[in-house]
Amino acid sequence: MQRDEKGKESIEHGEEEKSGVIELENLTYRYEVEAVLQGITTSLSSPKIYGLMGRNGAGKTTLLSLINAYIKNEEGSLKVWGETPFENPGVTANVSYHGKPNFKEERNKVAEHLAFYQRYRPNFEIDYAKELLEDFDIPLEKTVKKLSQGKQSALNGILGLAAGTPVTLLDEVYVGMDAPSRTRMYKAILDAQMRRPRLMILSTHLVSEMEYLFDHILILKDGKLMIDAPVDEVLEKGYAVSGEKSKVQEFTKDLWVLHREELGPVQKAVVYEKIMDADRQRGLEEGLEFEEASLQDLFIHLTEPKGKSHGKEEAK
Amino acid sequence: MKIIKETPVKQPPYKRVGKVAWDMLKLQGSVIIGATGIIFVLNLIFYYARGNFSDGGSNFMIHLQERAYIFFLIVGFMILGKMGAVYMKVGVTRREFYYGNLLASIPVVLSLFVVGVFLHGILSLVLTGYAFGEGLAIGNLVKSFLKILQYYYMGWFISLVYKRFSVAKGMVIFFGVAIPAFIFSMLPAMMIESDGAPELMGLASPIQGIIFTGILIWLIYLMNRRFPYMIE
Repeated sequence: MQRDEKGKESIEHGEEEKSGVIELENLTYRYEVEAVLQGITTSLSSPKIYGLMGRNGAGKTTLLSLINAYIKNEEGSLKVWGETPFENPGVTANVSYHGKPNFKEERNKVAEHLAFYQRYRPNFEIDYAKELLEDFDIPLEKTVKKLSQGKQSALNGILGLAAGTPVTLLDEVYVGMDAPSRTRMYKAILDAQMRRPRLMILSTHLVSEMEYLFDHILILKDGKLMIDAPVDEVLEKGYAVSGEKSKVQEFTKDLWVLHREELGPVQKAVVYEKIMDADRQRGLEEGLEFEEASLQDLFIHLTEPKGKSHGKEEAK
Repeated sequence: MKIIKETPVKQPPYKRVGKVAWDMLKLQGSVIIGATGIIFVLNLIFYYARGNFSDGGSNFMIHLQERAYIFFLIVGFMILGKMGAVYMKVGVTRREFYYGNLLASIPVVLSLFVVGVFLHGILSLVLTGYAFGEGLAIGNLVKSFLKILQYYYMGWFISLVYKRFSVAKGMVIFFGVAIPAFIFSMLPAMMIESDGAPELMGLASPIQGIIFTGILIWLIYLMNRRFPYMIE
């Protein structure tokens, strides 16, 4: 950190981020009396793509709004490059947030919209943005509000990818895009991350489609951070065991079982806990079958409402 | 492919105030110039419809100022209430937007007078053969300028209150704050009046205007500094 001419601390140019760029400690946010986020503690580092998941109302947008200084945190601590983001130009200039498009009243043409971003974002890559717009068939001369919802979403995503900020937050920016456009957008995200590595948080419900983009997973449930782990670790912990009901129950009695389903005498249990090779071998010898659980399945079962979980997970 | 590691840029506080001020002036200035032109044309139509040329066009400036109060209330409400979120999206802070717009507000209101006086001159010239014949007393223009500025700030204040709270709550807060502020701003004028100092009477109204404007600016500052931008 250094001090500018007004004595305020600001972020040095080209400073290498050694540890966490975003540090959250016991972060809680209440909307009126209801706690939307509760005791979130984590450290997010760069360059990395984080997948932020959670059911509707889990607190994803609130968390991103706090990081982007749209709202102020009252409880706990939130630091971006060691500074509080709220009303801090050194932080807000370096964090870009793009959510669901809201261009109903945007009478500017796409080109004018880009020029506005370029005026306020010092590292905005206008040529790269134009390249991506061409890729998505978005004409520069068209009025933004006249674009289809899918194209407005794509424009929003492109603005985020070309913003040239070291922290990029994309909150359900893919809403309204058709499948080919979404695939193109995912490719653009990877491409942008390769060109200018940064800390990117992608909030999504489209888990199965986007799984391959993530380096790290954050899952929110009822405002609490339930999972905060590298994607490989999450996938390694998640698997399904199936076989004779009594044997499955016996095998999983001390494990974190997310979900059970039965078909006649056969039971299938989705587990979220790392299994030792010896235990797996023992299970195989008893006639049990093991298969990998997808991130989508894990997400669905991990975020199931209370009362629908099974066994040891209640304690967790 | 050239790989550039994203690094934070240095951003000193208030650096973007000037940019915001210039952009807001351009945006609102164009709206105001357009609206003044429309009022001018309407005025001209009424003149011809009524066949009333006897005042030599002096009514134009009065009509313009009368319409400007409500017009600026709407401009303050519609534009300022929305633009805060637009600037937040590109990393501008609430404080930068506040000071930028405050800086722009004076030339924004002035633009109405500049265009208005110009059109008034043309109208007078066409109708009477003399530009700037009547209706352009400097004292009246200053008073009117202050009053329009107040309406503009009131529009800004109402939009912040309305967006931050519910409509009902917002109305209670607005009237709960604006009425006492207005009464408070009248105190110096009332004191001058009760002292019966005729030489100071002319100052009573501008003093009240300046105090009320100051209170409004302060209230907007309070409302704006922690304004939550909730994402829909």
